[in-house]
Amino acid sequence: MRIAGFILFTIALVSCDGGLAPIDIEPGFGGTITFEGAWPPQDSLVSLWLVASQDYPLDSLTVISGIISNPPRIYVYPSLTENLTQDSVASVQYSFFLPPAEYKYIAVVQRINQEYAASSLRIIGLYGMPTNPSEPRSVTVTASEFFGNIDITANFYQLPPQPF
Amino acid sequence: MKRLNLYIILLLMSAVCATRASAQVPTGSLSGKVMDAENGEPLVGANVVLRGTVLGRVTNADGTFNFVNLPAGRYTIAISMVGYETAVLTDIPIIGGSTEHADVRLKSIVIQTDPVVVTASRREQSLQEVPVSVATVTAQAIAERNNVTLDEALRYVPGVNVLQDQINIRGSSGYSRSVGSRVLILFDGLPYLTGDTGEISWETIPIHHIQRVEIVKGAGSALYGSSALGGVINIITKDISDQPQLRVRLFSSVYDQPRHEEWRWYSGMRFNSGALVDYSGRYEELQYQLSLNRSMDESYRVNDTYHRWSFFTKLKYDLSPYQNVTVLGNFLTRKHDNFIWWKSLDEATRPADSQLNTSVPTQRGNINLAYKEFASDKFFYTIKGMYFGNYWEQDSLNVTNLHARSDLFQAEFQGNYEASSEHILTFGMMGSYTQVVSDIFSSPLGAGAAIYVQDEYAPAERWNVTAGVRFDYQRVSERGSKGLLNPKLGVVYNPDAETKLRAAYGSGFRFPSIGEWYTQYGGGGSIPLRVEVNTNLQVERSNTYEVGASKVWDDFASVELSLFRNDFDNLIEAGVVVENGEPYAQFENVTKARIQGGELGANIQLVKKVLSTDIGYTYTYPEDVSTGAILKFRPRHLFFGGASFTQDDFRASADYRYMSRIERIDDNLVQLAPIIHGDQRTEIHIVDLRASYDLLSSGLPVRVGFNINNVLNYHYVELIGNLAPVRSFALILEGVF
Repeated sequence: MRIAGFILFTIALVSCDGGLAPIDIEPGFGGTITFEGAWPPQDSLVSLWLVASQDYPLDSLTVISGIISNPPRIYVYPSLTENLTQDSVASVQYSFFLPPAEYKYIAVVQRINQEYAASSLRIIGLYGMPTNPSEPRSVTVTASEFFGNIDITANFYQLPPQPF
Repeated sequence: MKRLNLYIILLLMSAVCATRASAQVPTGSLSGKVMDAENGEPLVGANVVLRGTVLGRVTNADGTFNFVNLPAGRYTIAISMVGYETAVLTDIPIIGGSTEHADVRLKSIVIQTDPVVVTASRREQSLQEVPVSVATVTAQAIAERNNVTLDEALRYVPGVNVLQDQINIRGSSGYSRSVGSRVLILFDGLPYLTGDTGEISWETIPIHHIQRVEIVKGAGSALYGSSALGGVINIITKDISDQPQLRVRLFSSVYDQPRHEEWRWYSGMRFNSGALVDYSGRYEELQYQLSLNRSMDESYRVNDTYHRWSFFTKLKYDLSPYQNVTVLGNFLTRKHDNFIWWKSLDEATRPADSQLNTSVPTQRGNINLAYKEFASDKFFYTIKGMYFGNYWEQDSLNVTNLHARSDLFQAEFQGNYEASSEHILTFGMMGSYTQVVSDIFSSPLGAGAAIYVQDEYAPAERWNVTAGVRFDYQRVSERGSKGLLNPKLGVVYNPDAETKLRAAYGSGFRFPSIGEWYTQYGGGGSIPLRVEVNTNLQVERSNTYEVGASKVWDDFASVELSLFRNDFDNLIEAGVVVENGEPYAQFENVTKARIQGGELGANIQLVKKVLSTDIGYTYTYPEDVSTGAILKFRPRHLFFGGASFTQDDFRASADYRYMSRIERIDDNLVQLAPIIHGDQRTEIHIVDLRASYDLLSSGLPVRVGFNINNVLNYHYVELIGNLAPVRSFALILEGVF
């Protein structure tokens, strides 16, 4: 009986990890946003967003519906502005956790007033192709991967092509 | 070859000439009672066989049996029952117009030294005479584990593992996407693989009507033909009771929640339930059985529910003491949602989006017909026929996307002739015809024929030599024809009644299934990768070499050790070809493989008749000889340990299964399907607990059982992207009235 007890104990011990488990890595991407040039006046910088859109091209209608749809087609990084104090930062690191999908358009957006309209949004930085930084570059997020080095350069006064 | 044919024809002629005369002789009866030798209690369900005739009885509730209309003469009866020593009574006189009584007391034994098996040599013989590894699964083990399909029961056999629905004996099959089994399944001795894909339809096997399952390990094509590369599994259905008997079996199990919050998707309980009603009896010389079974599984995974109805009937008619006819019918209809692989490991209980709202309705059935005659004391033969029909379709939102229908007809003649006290000959021939109509397998026809002979020779006391050869011919529409010769040789030496030393060689082969020959699929839907035809497929071959030893220590322990080597050639696998940048799947002969290893099995009685343990360990080294890599989907280590406790009407038992992590999988399938996290797998540790109580002593013919499966709620995959069942709790009620 002692042997049987020992065997059962051993089995329980080796099995206590429970086997397979969901992947701990939260999918998404991250990198550094570098701000170049001067910052705009405070009254024209209501908030600063990082957005990742599964749709591209975009227009003024799809950009709003993409954000409010369920599930969203356009995801907004929740707290980019919390870490920023105007004139105090030249760059910020971010980690953007997202559902697995292909994100065709990743950009830093300046919200210039309180209105919730496409006209209140201004793209100031774009994750672009290495050979042509003004052409959007997509990132495919898979279930178990977090992609690093998705670096974006933002400039409040040298804007990339505006999609809407 | 001509000489061999001539030899067999002469044998058949001599055997038929030896058919006993059917002269009118006076008849008498033989009745008796079978009891436990220790306490005199009647034994219910013992098998009583009148040797030299087709007659057999199963003892009734009071332990009695009865044979009537026996021609006057002298008879031998053999009485056997699991847990008891087989008794043989010889020279029983039957006199016309009178009834002879033969009461039998069976001595209970702890370890059976000489169980009878039928598959290794196509005849009843003691396991001590068999030169290859044979394992058995009993009806009792199936009932206690509450197995719903047979593959669940086979997971506890040493050297056997199941990857989803594909069975491996010592690593034979790997996983070939359910197409083309490398283990041959027999249903009462006839091949039972589907006509289209050559796969095993586990759910169609009437598990509650199985008397026992015999698993012969190693290549067995010299007796059984195609697909017996890794071994043969023979499903033997139960004999029918003489007394009217109503059996009702109900079970209901409920799934626990997975360990991880991410996998939980149901708030209420998910059930797996079933009911079986079975009625059997005897009307004059006709024994009959009718059975209806309903089962339903709500599953622990999304889009994985099934509903099944099945019907089973068996009719046996004794034309005379020396001739009988058996008819067996088996039909299943089922609708199963189509969970092929998970969405990701993070959502392991949900299928990939493309599989949602897809299902596979299926209808399968077989009709078997068998005629058996003892033509003389030394010669008997059987003629068997089977129709096995399969229809399945794949539906998406109730619209049929794919379908396949296959009709398989088989016929077989087998003779067993005791040529002398040293020679027992087994010989036969068989033919098969297959017709498939499908939108992915085209509509080909297949036909096959075979002839075989085997001699069991006892050159000296304690020695047995078995030699046999079989020739198979098969043709499949425009893919052409092929003929193959497969030999076997085995030697057994018994130094004493409890010890066996053995050595065996056997060869195996497998014709490509129609599914492998003809599958053409444009891709899309739940399986995005397209599949193209390969017209150059070759036959798979295998050679098995095995030595073994076994020993029984009376009432204490038994041990069996085997060392084996299997060489495989031309294994067919679904590879991926990239042409003009476009990938597609295609079946190819790619692998020359060798699987070597050893197996140890033991049964130890820790407390006689109260506490016993079983263990089985198998080590395999599965090597792709062409590349030096480990073969895909083959684990190196398999371990099984079980313990059971019996006290009066109470029985409790525990099982533990271990399978080492599969080292290599099909990376192409993972990447191109794609199966997100398809490479995620782990070693397997499964613990099951069971308890049952027999209420018979309380006056109720009912057994109550309670099982906990996967007690540790251990999460694993047997097949890529398929989370195995979570912990479940089952209640089983079975009554025989």
